[in-house]
Amino acid sequence: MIRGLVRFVDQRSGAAPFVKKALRYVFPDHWSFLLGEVALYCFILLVATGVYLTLFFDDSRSQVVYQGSYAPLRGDSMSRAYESVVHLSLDVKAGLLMRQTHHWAANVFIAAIVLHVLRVFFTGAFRKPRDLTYLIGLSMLFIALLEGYLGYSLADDLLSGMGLAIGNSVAISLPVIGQYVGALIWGGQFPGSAAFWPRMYIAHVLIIPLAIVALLTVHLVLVAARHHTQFRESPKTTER
Amino acid sequence: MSRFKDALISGIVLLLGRSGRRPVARRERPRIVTAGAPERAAENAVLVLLALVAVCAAAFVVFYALDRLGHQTQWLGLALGLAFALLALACVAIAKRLVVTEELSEPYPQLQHLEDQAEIEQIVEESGSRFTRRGLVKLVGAGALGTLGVAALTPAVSLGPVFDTSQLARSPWRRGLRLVDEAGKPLAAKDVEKESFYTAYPEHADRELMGSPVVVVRIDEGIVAYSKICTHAGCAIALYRKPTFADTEPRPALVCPCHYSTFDPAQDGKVLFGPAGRPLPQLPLLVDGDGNLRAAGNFNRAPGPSWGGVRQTEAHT
Repeated sequence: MIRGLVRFVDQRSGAAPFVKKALRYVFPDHWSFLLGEVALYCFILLVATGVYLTLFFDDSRSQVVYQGSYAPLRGDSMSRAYESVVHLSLDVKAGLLMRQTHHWAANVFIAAIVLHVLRVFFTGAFRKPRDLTYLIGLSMLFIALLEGYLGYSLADDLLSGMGLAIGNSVAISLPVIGQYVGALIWGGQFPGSAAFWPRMYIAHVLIIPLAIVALLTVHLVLVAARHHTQFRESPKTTER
Repeated sequence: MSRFKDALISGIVLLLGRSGRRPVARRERPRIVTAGAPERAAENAVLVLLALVAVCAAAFVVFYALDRLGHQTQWLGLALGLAFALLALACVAIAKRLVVTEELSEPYPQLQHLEDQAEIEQIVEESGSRFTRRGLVKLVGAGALGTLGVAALTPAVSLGPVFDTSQLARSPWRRGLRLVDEAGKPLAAKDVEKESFYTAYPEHADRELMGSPVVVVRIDEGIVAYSKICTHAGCAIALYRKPTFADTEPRPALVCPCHYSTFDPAQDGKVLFGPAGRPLPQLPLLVDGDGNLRAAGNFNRAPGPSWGGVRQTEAHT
């Protein structure tokens, strides 16, 4: 079976030399080298659960009166966005599971990136020739934070309202350009034009994930090209 | 019956392996990976773990299908979480105990290819040898591409009123507008008591606007109203602090709980403490014939969190 598969792939892609090299890649045998992989798997999980969430989420801020199954909220006025979130959480089977998995994967994503950066920092793996890899990783951390902030804001509950208000006040307080940046992003004074929610949404589900995928690709290619940093050979197991 | 016996025997053989008559492996070429001894215990553990993964995954499907299951989300999460946790354990066992690993030392890849670098530079230089004014071509080229980039970004201006920042000072208040409470009931002047704190909105206006909510308090000089939005970071002024230490805090003050910006309602919202950079906008008031509070005009300064040039901006409707 292996022989057939290898032949099939190699004859069509010529990938055999690369695959052979990858299988014999010398990988440092220490758990801290898997933190970056944890972040990678979190990202895959985030994309998978996120796609599921988009099938139920409505990015509109138009006001509706809640008539769903959750009695304490019935009759309250809320945005379509929040209504769709409540509906997904309480009325859709496995909806809350998907939403919570997305939420916790996002938390673990950031935590894993931070620990990964710490490992890179304290083992000196940020130095040339891996400096570019490090800087790309750092920019992914900040992009991931922005992505998390947008996800937190999209639900349109009370937390997201306050978070966005703070974000807006931070944006317009930037020296010299702040008021223009704020007016541009929000389309006017906070809470902004009706178009602001779709803007956040498309940034959260398309633009920023694409940016992360692009940076991630370059990051991994550079890691493979320059190889992992290695620990010094341990004297115990060296037979020389 | 004999079919059952066959199935049983083949099952046992599958489980225990054919240790007795293992065929000699075809060995046409020398091993690449070092040899390692089999570890039946680890292999058995992996088999059990993988079987449990299948059980948990199947349980997930069952929990999903059960319509009247209490705490369904929790059961689903438990099943799926366990499945992944067991799979992880199996992977760890495989990686640590079963896959042949060896300790190798490997030189780092070559840092640079000096010859190739030189050749690339040469190729670029030689390919461009027909240009006689390279500096000028580079300058004009950069100018052309830069301008094209600006042109490509120009439509982004449509996103918002970039240069009309007067929007940021928007307020729904104007002369004659009644102050109403959260339920929409007009606020009567006689109902505003000292040492208490009232939140009011403009009647029939959008309450989500930055400039909408006001706080109303009665001080020695009379009733005053201020924007409820802190001029620092846009939190709500949600506290009316009593003088806790009379020597330094003789009068009550309006306080934002976020970063403790404190404003004096008796001195046009002057900042007494905290990070706020400018006073709280005051709303002029009048009392109509029915004894209800009405706005006597707009705020005396722009409501909402501050931005560059906010001190030169007046509130506008």
